[in-house]
Amino acid sequence: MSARMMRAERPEEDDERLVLRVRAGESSAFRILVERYQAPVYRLVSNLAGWQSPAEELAQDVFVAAYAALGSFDASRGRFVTWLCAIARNRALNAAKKAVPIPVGEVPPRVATETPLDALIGREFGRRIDRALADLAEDQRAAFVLKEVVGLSTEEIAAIDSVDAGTVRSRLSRARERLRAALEEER
Amino acid sequence: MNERDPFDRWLSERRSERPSFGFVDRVMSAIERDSTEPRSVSTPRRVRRLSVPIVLSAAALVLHVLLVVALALLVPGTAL
Repeated sequence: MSARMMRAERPEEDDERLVLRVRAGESSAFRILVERYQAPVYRLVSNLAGWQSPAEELAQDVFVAAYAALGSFDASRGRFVTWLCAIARNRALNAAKKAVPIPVGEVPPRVATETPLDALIGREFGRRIDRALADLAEDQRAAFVLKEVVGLSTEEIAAIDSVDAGTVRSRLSRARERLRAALEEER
Repeated sequence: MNERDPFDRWLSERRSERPSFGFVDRVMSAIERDSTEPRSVSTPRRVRRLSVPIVLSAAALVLHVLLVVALALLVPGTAL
């Protein structure tokens, strides 16, 4: 896992220990987990569900669902963040399926596009890439976002998708190829 | 990462996205609400599975009784 995923507010206490505290009735320990993973979960649902769904509501639903299902988390089968991202991935893809597609010209700008950086990129370019991402096959889009935006390893993505690492690499390669092609069209 | 490349810049922006201020508080409030609200009581699946044959059997029994009564009334000499 990359450094950006590992950045934690309270690195002295690992996720599994916090989960045990929550299970023992200390619900406030879950707050630390939310603080720790709010950004990756938000990025995941925001980029998987796209502009069709309010990302903060979705991210909130993910944490509420994770809290309710915490009893099913098994540390021997993987890391907490992988388990959490699996919940987020499924919820975001379900939200994307339920949403009504919007024509390219009507895609509203993302909230984050108001940054100075985006002013350089250009709103139209951002929209085109967002659209290209939304048009990817579901498994390719999920693999790309989990790897490039969230920062999970290929093996962790394979565990989430219940496939082998080679399949994830293949999905990533096709996703990058198609997004680059969309970029070339823009130039 | 090549910051002059538009695709890399787009990716960099996506990697820096965060929820708005107060998100953690809103999540914890939602969890609190979720745990205090009474959950709807639904019939367990096993009970639902059992109730179908019971209803069918009861209906068959009622029909059977009605048929016997009807026959008893129609056929002369049959005592109820």
